[in-house]
Amino acid sequence: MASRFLETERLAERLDFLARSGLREVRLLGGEPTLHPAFEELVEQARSGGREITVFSNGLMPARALDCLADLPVWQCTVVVNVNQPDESEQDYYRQRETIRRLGERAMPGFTIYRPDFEAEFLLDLIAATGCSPVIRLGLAHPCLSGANRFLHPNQYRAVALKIVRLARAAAQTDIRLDFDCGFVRCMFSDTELERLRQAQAHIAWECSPILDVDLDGKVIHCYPLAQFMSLPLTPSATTAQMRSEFEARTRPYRQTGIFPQCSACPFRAAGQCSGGCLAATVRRFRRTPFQIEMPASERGAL
Amino acid sequence: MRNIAPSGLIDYGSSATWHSVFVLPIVEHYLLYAPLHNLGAVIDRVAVQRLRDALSMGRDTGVEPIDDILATLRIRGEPAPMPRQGPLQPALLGLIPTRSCNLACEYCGFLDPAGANQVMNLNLAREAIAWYLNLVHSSGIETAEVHFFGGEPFCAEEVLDFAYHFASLRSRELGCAVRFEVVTNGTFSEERCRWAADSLDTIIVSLDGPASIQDRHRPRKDGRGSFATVARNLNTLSEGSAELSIRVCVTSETVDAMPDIAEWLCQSYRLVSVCFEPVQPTPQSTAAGLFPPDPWTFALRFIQAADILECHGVEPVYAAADITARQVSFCPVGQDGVIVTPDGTLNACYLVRSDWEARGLNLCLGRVEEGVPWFNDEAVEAARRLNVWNKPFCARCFCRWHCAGGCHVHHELPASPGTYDPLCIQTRLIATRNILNSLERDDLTSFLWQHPEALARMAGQPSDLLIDFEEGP
Amino acid sequence: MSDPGPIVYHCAPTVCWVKDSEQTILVEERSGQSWSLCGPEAVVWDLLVLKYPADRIVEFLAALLDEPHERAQQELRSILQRWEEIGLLATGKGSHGQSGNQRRV
Repeated sequence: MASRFLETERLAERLDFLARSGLREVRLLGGEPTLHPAFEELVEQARSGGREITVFSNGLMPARALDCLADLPVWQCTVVVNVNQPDESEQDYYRQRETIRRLGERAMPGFTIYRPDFEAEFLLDLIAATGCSPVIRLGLAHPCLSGANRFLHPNQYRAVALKIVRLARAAAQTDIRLDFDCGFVRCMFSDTELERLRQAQAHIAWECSPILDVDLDGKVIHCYPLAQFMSLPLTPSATTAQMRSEFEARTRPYRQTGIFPQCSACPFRAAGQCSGGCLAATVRRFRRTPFQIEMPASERGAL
Repeated sequence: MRNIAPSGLIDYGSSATWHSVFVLPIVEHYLLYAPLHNLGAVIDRVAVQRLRDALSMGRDTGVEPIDDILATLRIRGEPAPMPRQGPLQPALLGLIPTRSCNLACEYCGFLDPAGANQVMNLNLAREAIAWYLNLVHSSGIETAEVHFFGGEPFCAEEVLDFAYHFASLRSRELGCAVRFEVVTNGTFSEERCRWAADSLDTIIVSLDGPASIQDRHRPRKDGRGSFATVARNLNTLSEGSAELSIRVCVTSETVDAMPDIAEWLCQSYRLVSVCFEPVQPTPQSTAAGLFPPDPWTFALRFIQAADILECHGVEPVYAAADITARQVSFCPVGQDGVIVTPDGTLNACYLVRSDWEARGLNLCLGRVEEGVPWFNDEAVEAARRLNVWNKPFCARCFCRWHCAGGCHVHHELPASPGTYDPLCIQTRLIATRNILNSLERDDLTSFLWQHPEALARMAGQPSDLLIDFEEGP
Repeated sequence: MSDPGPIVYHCAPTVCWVKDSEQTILVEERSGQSWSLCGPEAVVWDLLVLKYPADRIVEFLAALLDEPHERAQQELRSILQRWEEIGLLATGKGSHGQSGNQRRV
C-alpha cells in the first residue's frame, strides 16, 4: 500500500523528471500538500537551484507550513488558495483569509465552481482586504470517473457562464482579472459575453490537455479526474513531452467527441477553437453495454 | 377606439407602437413595457404622462431620458406576430405513439375510451415523418422538431424507437438536423432511461413533488406509488446529455409547497427548467378532491420558487408568462403544429378530441390516408384563426404577445375588459415579476407584493395600453 | 447435412460506445481502435443495446429502409459479420446456455 505522504527522497526523481523536461516550475498538490510532515524540507528541495514553486492548498495549513511559505521570495512562490464560499463554513473562510493575508502577493485565490448557485463576488473584497495577487484562478469542478465527487454537469455550464461574465466585469472595475483553469468550452458563452470577458481582461482558454501529475506511487497521470482511467510509470528517461504525447495518443479515440453530443460536429472544435471540454466528463459519456444476439445460420433462410 | 385587428397594421408605424406599448402601476412607480421593441423601464407618473402625450403628438419632450425612450419606440421594433398564411409550415411534428398509460393520475383528463389502447402503426409514423421532414427541407428550415406526447409515449417504445431512427436517417439524407423532445411520466426501465438520456434532446418529466405528493397525485394503475421509479430515473437522466425539465402540477393542497419543491428539485437533480402549472379541473380531479390553487397564492409561490430556481441556474417556467415569447397562439394550434394520433388523424392539438369538441372546436386538420397525409385547407385556416388577434379581450393586456390568450380549449376568455379570470390574474402577476426580473428590479416585485391594494390595482387594470393611461388622482 | 445452428454474437467486453448527434462512436479500449457508425449500422447498434431480438431488428430495418425483408435480413447479417471481423463482436454457435436479446416486444 502506498504511503500517505511522499517520501522526501522520492522527490528527487520527480525533480529530475522536470529537469530532463526543461521545466523550472514545481507544483505541489494533494490532498493538502502542506500537511506533509516534512513539508518545509520538500519546499527546500523543490526550490533549490532557483526553481519556482506553486503550491495548491485549501489554505487551512499548519502554522509552520505557512511560516515556511511566507518567508519565500515572492518571485519564487505562488500559493493557489482554493477558497470556499463564506456561507459554507465561516470558520474555514476566516482561516483561509488569514492565510492569504499572511502570504500577501504570494497568494492567488482560487475558486472551483461545483454548483450553479455559486457566489464568488466575495473574492473581490477578499483581494482588496488581504493584498494578495489580483488574479482569481477560476475552475470548473470536473467529475472523476466514478462520478462520486461533486461536479458541475455540462448542461449546467450555460447557467454558470452568465455568473462568470458578471463576476469578470465586477472584478475588472477593481483591476482584478480572472484566470481560467481547464475544461471551459467555447459554446458556454455567447459572442457578446465573450467580448465582455475580453474587455474585462479575463484570460480564457478552451483547453483540456495532459497537465501531468505524478502521484505518490510514482505513476504519471493525465490529470486528477482521470487518475483512475490511465497512468504511465515514471521511468528514469521519461520526459513530459514524451508522456504528453503518449497520453494524447491513448486518449485520441475519446477525443472524437466531447462533453456534449454536438461536440463532434461543432465548428469551434473543428477549427481548433475548443477542445470539447473536460476529457473525464467526455469519457463518462461512454457506455459499456453487454448484449448478445442470436442469428439463425444463413442456410436456414428467413428468420 | 383604434382598430386592433390585423388589418389595422396597414398603418404599421403608429398602430403597432400604440398597441404594443403598455404601462403597469407598481405602487408609486410605473413599469413601461414594449415587448415588440424589447423595451422595459421603471418610470414615474409624470414620465408616463409625457410619454403618452409626446407619442400621440409626435414630438419630443425635451427631457433626455424620456426622449431616449421615445426614440426607441419610434424605431420600428420587431413586427407584430401575425397569423400564419400560405402553405402549411408546421412548427413541430407531434407524435402520439399511444394514448394508453401505465399510471392512473388522479387529475388526468386524457381519457380517450375509443382509442385508449391503440398503438400507432410504424408505417403511419414513417409516412408522417417523411412528409414533415420533406416539408422542413423544402422550406429551408435547419432544424426539425419531433415531439412525443401521450398517454405515455414509452408505453409504445417500438413506435418511439422507430420514429427516432427513421427521423434520424431521413434528416441525415436531407441534410437537416432534428431535435427530439418527449413528455413522459418517467416510469420507464433503467435501460430505457439510459437510452433516453443518451438519445433525446429534451425530456420533460412530470413529477408533482416528493413521494407524499407524487404518489397521491400520480399512482400506478395498480395503486402503487410512482415516485420511487421516477426518482431513480431522474438520477440517471441527470447524468445524461438530454436537457432535463420537470413539470409540476400544482393543486390547492400543494401550492404552498412550491418553493420547497423547487429547492428540493435543485438539490436532487440537474435540471434545465422546472415548469409549474395549476391543475386543470376535470371531473376526475374534482372527484379526487384536487382543485386548482388560488391564482394569487399560485403567483406568489411561483415567484418565490422562481427566485430559488434561478439561483440554481434553473429556468422557472409558467408557460403563459414566458416574456421571451412573441406569438399569436399559446400552443401548436395556430402555429401549424401537426399532431399525429394513433388512428392516423392529424390534429392541431394534442388534447383528446372530446375536449375540443366540447368547446365547439374542430382541431382535426386532416388524416393520413393510404400513406399520404391529407389536409383540409378549411380546417387549417380555422386553426390559424384561433389566434390572439381574434381575442379582443386580450387587446389591451400586456401579456398579449406572450400568453396569446392561453389554451384555446381550456381557457375561456372573460366577456368584458378587466374582468380577468384566475388564469389571467396569475399570468399577469408572474409576467410582471418576469419583466422586473429581466430589468434586475426584483426589489420592485417584493415591494409590490407588500402592497396588496397596489398589487390588485396592477393585476386588475382593465387596459394596460399607454394610450389608455388616465391621469388619476 | 447437419443443422449449423444459430450464431450468437456477443459484444466484446472491452468495447465502449457513445452516441453523438450525428454518429455513434465505438472504442475498443485495449487496442485504442475506434469506429464511427452512421446510418443503418448506428440503428442496428442502438437496437442491439436495447436488446431487440434479430427478427425485430430485421423488421425495423425493412421498414426504415423501405426494402424487402430478405434484403434487410442480409443487411443485418453482413453488419454483424463485419463487426465480428473487426473485433467488435465475438461469436459462439448455439445459445451457450443463454438466449439472445429477449426484449419483450
